[in-house]
Amino acid sequence: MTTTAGDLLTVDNLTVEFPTDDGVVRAVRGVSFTLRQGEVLGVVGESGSGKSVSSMAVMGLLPRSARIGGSIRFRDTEIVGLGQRQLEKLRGNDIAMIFQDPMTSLNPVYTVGWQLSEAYRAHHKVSKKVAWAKAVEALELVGIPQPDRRAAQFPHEFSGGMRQRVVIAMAIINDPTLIIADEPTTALDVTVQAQVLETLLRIRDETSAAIMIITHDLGVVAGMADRVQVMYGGTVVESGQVDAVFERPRMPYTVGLLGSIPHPDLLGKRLTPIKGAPPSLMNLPPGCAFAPRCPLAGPECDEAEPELVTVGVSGHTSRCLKWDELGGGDDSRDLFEHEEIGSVENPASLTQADPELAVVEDAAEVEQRMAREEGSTP
Amino acid sequence: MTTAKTSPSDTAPAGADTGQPLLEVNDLVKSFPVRGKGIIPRTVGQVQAVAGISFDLRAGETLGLVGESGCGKSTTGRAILQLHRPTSGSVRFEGRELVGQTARQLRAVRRDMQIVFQDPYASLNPRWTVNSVVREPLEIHHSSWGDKRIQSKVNNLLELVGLNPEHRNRFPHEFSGGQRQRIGIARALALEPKLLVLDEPVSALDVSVQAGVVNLLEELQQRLNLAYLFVAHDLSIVRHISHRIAVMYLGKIVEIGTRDEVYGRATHPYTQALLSAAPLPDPKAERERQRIVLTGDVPSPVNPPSGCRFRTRCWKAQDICASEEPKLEARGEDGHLSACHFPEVRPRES
Amino acid sequence: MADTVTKTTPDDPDTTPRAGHEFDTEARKQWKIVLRRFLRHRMAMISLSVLVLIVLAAIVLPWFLQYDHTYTGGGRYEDPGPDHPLGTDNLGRDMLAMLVRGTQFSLLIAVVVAAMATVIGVTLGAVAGLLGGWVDTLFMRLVDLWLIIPQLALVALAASAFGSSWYLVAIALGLFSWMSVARINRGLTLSLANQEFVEAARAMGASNTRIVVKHILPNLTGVITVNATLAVATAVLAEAALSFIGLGVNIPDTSLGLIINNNYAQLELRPWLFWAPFLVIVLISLTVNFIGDGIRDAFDPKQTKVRA
Repeated sequence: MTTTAGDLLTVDNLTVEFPTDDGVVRAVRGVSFTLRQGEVLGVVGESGSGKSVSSMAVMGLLPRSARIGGSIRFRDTEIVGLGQRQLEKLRGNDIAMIFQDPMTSLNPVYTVGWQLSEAYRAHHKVSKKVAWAKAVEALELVGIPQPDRRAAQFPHEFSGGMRQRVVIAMAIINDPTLIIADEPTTALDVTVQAQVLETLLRIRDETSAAIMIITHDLGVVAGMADRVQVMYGGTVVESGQVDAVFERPRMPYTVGLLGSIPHPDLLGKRLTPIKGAPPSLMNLPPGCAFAPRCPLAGPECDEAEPELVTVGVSGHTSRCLKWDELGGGDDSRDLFEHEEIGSVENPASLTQADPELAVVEDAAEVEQRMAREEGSTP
Repeated sequence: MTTAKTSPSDTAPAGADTGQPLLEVNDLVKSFPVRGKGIIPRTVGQVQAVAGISFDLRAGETLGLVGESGCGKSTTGRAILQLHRPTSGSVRFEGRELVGQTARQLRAVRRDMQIVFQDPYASLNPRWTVNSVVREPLEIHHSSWGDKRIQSKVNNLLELVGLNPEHRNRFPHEFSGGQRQRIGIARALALEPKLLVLDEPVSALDVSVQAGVVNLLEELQQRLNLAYLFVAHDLSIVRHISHRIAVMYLGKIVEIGTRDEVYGRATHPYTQALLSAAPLPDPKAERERQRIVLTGDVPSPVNPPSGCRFRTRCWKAQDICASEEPKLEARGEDGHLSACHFPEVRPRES
Repeated sequence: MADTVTKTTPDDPDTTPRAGHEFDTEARKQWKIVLRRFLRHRMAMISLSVLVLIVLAAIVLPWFLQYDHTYTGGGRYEDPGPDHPLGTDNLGRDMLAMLVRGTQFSLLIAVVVAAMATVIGVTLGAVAGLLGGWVDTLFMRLVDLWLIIPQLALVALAASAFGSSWYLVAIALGLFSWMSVARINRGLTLSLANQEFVEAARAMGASNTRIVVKHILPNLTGVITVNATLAVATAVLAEAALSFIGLGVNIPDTSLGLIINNNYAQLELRPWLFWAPFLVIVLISLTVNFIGDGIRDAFDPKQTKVRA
C-alpha cells in the first residue's frame, strides 16, 4: 500500500495474535486500510470479528502478550514497536479514543473540568487557568449547556448522554487529528445516540479530524461514515464507499448482514439472516472464514482464503471468489432465505471446534438418525 | 385514563376474532419503594415505574411496546405475568382477573402465559443441560406424563426452535447467543402458552442472528396462533414484527396504534423524535432525512414532571402541558390514540 | 467490550463427540465435569496429597510410634536421636508424639469450626437473601453486631467459666466465624434470586422450595465448598493464635498452638521444637487454601475468558 499525500493513517497487513493456554487466538489477520484527513471510516462486524482489537492496536493499547505484525503508520510515525513513552505522546494528543462506557473513562473523584484541563496540560505547558478555560471551551464545543458551571461538577452529576459528551470533549481537547470511537453509542438510548453522533460529525467539520468509528450498528455507519469496512473472522471481507457497499454488496456476509436488519422496504417480507455462529478465532476454517455459513460456498472456497479483490469503482473491494454472482439488492438476499422451522443447528462449540461439521441440518434427517440410534441401542 | 381500545386494524392478524381479547390491561400501576439510607432502611418514597397504562391484546396478535431505558416497558411485561405484583389496576387474561391472586391460583394461568428474557446468558441456569432446562416446565406441570412422553416433547421443542436434539445434553455455554435464545424460546413454548411476553428477545444478539430469532418468532406465531407482547427499544425490529405498537415514556403510554398509524402518521412529538432518531441502514435515506434531536435526557421517574411527562424535552410545550396531563385519546385524522395537547402529523419523507 | 468471546477449553478428545452424528444419550453429570477439572488443577492436587499425608499421619502414626503423648519418661530437652526423632520437651515428653497429637486436635477443631461456620452462615445468609425485607435487615444487623463484639475477650471469659477442652474452644471459635460466610451467601442468594433463570422458573409456576433446591443451592455449592475449606484454614490459624496466648486448648488436650506456646522460648537453643509445629500449621493452612482455589476453579462453568 503506498502512502499518498493526505493519508493520515496507513495500516498495512496488520496481524494480532494472542497466545493462550488453549492455542493461539488469531484476532486480526492481514488488515490493511488508509484513512485521510476529515474522513469517517466505519468499521462494522459482530462480536469476535476483530474490529475492536485492530483499533486498540492503532492506539497501542494491546496487552503485552499480544503478538503484533505488519505496520501501522500514523503520518510518518510507525506505531508498531513504539515505546510506551512515545505512544503516550501520541495518545490523547494526535490520536484520541472514545470508549463504549463513559463511566469507566472518567474518574469519579475529580470534577469534569479538572480532568479535562489535566488532559490538556499533559500535552501543553500552560497555566491551570488557561487549561480550565480550554476545558470550558471543549465542553461548549460538544454542546453541553452552561459549560462554565458544568465544568465544576463531578461525573456522577451528569446523565449518560452528557457523560459521553464529556468523554468526547476529553478526546478532542488536544485537537487530535484522528478520533477512534469504539461503539460510542451502544450504551445510549436512541434519542441520546442521535445527539452524540451529531456532536461527533460537527467536530469533524470544525476540526477536520478523521474519525474511525467501530460499531455493530449498520444504521450508525450509514448515517455517519464515508467509507465502510466490514470485518469477519478477524479480517476485512469487504470495504468501499458507504453507498457502494450498502447498495451493491459484493460479499455474501455483507449481504446477509444487510438482509438481517429490518428495513421499511422489507415490511411483510422475511428477513434473511445468516445461519450458524461466527468461527472460533483459534480454529479458523481452512479457506474462506465465512464459507461454513455461506449459501454460495463451493469446494473452491475451502481451499485457501480468498484475496481482497477490487470489485467496483473507488476502491470497492471484496474477499470473495464469487463476488460477481452477487447482483446486489434483493436478488442476492434471496440466497439466504430459508424456513426457520424444519431445519436444526448444531451447537456453536461443536461447529467451531470442527469447521467441517454441518452448521445446519434438515430436522427430518436428524429425526431419522435418532430413531436409528435408539433402535440399535436397546 | 382512557381505555386504549383500538378498532380492529388493517394489519390485524387474519386469525384474530373480534370477540373477547386474550389480554386486557386496565390502568396498570406498578410502583417500587425508594429506600433511604441508614441502619434500618425506611421507605422514603415511591417510584411509579408503570403509571397507569391500559391496552389489550388478541390471540395471534403482536403488540410492540417501545420506549427508552427506564420507561417501564420491561416492568409492564413482568407485572402482567405477576412476576412483579402490580400496585393497582387490572390484568385480565381470557376474562379472568390476575391481580391479587395467590401463587397457587396463578399456577394454572402460568401455562398459558410465558416469558422470554433479554439475556440468553442469564436466563438459563448455567449448571443445567439444555435438556433439563426445557424439561423443567413439563416436570412442574405435567409430572404425570412419564419420562418417555416428556422426553419426546422436549426433542420436538428443540427441533421446533431449530436446535439439534441430539445435543440436548450439552450445557448452555456451548451454544452461541442466538442458539441460547432459542433454548429460552423452547422452554417458554413447552407448556403451549397462548401469550408470550418477549422482553427484548434479540437486543443482546449479534445482528446476523437477531433476524433468525425474529423469523422464528414470526413462524411460531403463524403456526401456533400465539399472541406476543414484544418489548423492545429497537424501533426497526418492532416495526417489522408488530401489528400494533404502543410507545412508552416515563411509565405512560404516549401513543398507541397500528403499525402504519404509529410509524406513518405519528402525532405525539416523542414518537416522532424516536422515529427520526433511529438510524437506518440506508446511506441515502440517512442523508436526506431531517432528524429531531431532543435536548437533554429522560427525567428521573422518582420525580416526574407535572402535567405531560415529556414536556421538559418537547419543542411544542406550552403552559397547558405543565398544568394538565394530556389524556390518551383519539386525536388526529385516523383516530389512533395519542397523549398530546398538540397532536400533529409531521410531514415525513417515508 | 464487544469483542469478548467466551470460549471453552476443548474437552478431552476421547469424551468429546467429534461430529454431530454421535448420539450422546448419557447425560454428562455436572459433578463429573467438576471432578475432572479439579483433578487437572496441579496446585490443588499437590496440596491435596500433602494434606492427605498429614491427616493420615495424624491418624495412623500413633499406632507405630514408640511413645504416646502420655509418656513423660524422657529426659528434659533431649536432642533428637533414634529414640526421640524430634527430641523431648521440658517435661520429657516425646516431641513427635506430641506433634501428632496436636495435629489431631488442631484438625478436629478446624473441621468443627468450619462446619459450624458453614451451617450457620449458609442458613442465615440464604434465608436473609431469599426472604429479604425485615428478616434480611434483622439478620444483617445481627452480623454487624457479632462482628464488633470483642471475640477474644468473650472466648477468654468462656474458657475461664467452662474450662478449655478442645470442643469448647471449637464451639467458641465456630460461634465467631460464620459472619463472612453469611454475608457472602446472602449476597449471592440475593443476586441469584434476581437472575432471569430464577425469574423464568417463577414464571413457570415453580414453588419457592423448588427454586431453592433446584436453582439456588446448586449455584451456591461452589462458593459454599470454597468458603468451608477456607474456614478450615482460618480456624487452624485462629486456634493456634488462641492457644498460643493461653486462651485456647489446655491440658489434658493439646494442639499445635499450645505446643508452640510451650516451646517458643527454645527458639534459639532448640529451634526444631518451635519450627516443627509451626511448619505443620503453615502446611495445613496453605494446602487447604490451594485446595479451595482448585475447587473454585473447577466449579466455574464458564472457565477462561479470552479477548479476541
